[in-house]
Amino acid sequence: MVTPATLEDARFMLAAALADPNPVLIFEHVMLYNRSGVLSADPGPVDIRRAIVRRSGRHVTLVTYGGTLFKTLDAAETLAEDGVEAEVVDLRVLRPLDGETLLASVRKTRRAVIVDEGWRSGSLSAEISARIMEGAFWELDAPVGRVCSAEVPIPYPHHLEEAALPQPAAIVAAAKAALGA
Amino acid sequence: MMGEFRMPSLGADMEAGTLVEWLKRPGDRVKRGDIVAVVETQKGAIEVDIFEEGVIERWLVEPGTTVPVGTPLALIAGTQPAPAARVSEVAAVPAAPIPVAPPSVEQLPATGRARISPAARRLAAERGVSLDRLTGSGPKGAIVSADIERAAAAEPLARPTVTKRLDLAEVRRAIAAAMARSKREIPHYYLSTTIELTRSLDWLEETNSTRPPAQRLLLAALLLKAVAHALGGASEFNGFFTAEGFQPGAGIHIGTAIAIRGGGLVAPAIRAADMLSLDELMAQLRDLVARARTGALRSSELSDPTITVTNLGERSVETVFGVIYPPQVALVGFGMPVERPWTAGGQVVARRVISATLAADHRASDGHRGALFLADIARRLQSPEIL
Repeated sequence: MVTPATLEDARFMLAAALADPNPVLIFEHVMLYNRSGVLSADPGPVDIRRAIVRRSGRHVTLVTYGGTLFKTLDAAETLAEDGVEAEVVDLRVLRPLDGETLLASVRKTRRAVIVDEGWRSGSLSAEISARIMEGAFWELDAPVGRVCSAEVPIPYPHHLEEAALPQPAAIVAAAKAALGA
Repeated sequence: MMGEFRMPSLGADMEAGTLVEWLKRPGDRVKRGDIVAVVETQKGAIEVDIFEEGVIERWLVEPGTTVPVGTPLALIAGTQPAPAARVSEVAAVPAAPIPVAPPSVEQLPATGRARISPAARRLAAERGVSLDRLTGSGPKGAIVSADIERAAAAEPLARPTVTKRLDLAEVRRAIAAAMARSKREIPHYYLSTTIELTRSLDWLEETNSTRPPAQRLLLAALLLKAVAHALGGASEFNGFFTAEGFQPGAGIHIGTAIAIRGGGLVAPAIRAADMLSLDELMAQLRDLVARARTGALRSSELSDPTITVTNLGERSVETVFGVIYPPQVALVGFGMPVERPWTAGGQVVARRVISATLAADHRASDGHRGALFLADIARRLQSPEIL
């Protein structure tokens, strides 16, 4: 189950999925269709088994995927202005989760904030948090933080929709809370 | 009344010690002589006994913390009930050359545990950093790993792990400091004599012939006993030289130099050696040697020898000119018993003899007194049965 967020992933994950003997689900995020960019000439085949670190940092790990990747990168940029070096992990593969990449980052930064458009209750963010507890509890300097959608049906009016979904400001606040700032 | 149990001075060369573990808990009743804590020094892990009587009110220092000599380690409540003294009122730290933070002056909040992140807790254990005087910089004031790293950097004395094994490099440093001080400050004079040992050795053989091996006496015990008795009439060799001049020792506590396997030596005291029977002295000597080599000496044994005896007879040397262990003022050295031509009644005969030397502090005594002291030791060794 893969979730492309970048142009390269969107373009080349299908080929990798077809090459895989098992069924592969590709979840494209509808809000990413509006983004545009220039595909690099030849990025080569994409790995549909591994998460990837999209931005390197040493103070806090921001874990996300799909539609919230760019909001999270924006938040990391804001954090950098305040002197906080956030590392952004793009999960890319939701099942099986690439725990190795995730935990390596958390062990480095000792703090994690999960950004997910799902709900907090019984969600992928809950699963990621549990994996961090299982694999990196003794490395943590702060409780795992989460920035998720409000547990309501997504409202239709634009401003309410924006309010219900994770936004960069909330991600920045959660990261700073993990740092005790 | 509220008393303080302080980091003891286990020798003139000790400036600070690391608390390894508490053997008594708050609420425990203690009496003079009880072993209360284990302290790591340059001489290894030492069991520290207490001189007061009362109930342990509270610990002031966590295990793993290094504090200067004299720092209060625990509050001891006397037999009369006393209101709980605030730590901040009593935790005065004496002037010390080592910049170590004072012991904990703040107790954890009464409700709930302190906020310490899992990573910080683990790191603190690894680095031997005490958590109770740190201020946290993490979420809601939690102590995080960065706080531990800062504390570890600011606290170079804290050792990562406190082991019970002797640190030979530390022992070497301690010896270097004490011996250099000795040669710098103490005007040594040396006397040497040869003592006829036939009667003593014959008496030892006869006494030991009827004893099982574990209860046999060694010559070392006889020599120590002779020195102890002779010191009774030569108090200027038994004591300490301090800023106020010579202070006679309160008892005759003979430090016995014991080599540690792998290098270095310690000289724990056989306390009140003049009051012990030969058998008691021998038992204490065996016990000291065994414990010195496993690093389990008690604080009172290391802190107050009033003179040192060194016996290099086992090492095949005939004569030893010792270096006084400050602040003591004398060191008696014995070599190896050897057979030598000896004149007795106008005849040259083969006799077993031993060389005895005295290194003494000229500030406290003169050669004339030293000569009498050595002669007294020689005389006493001629009557081993009354030692």
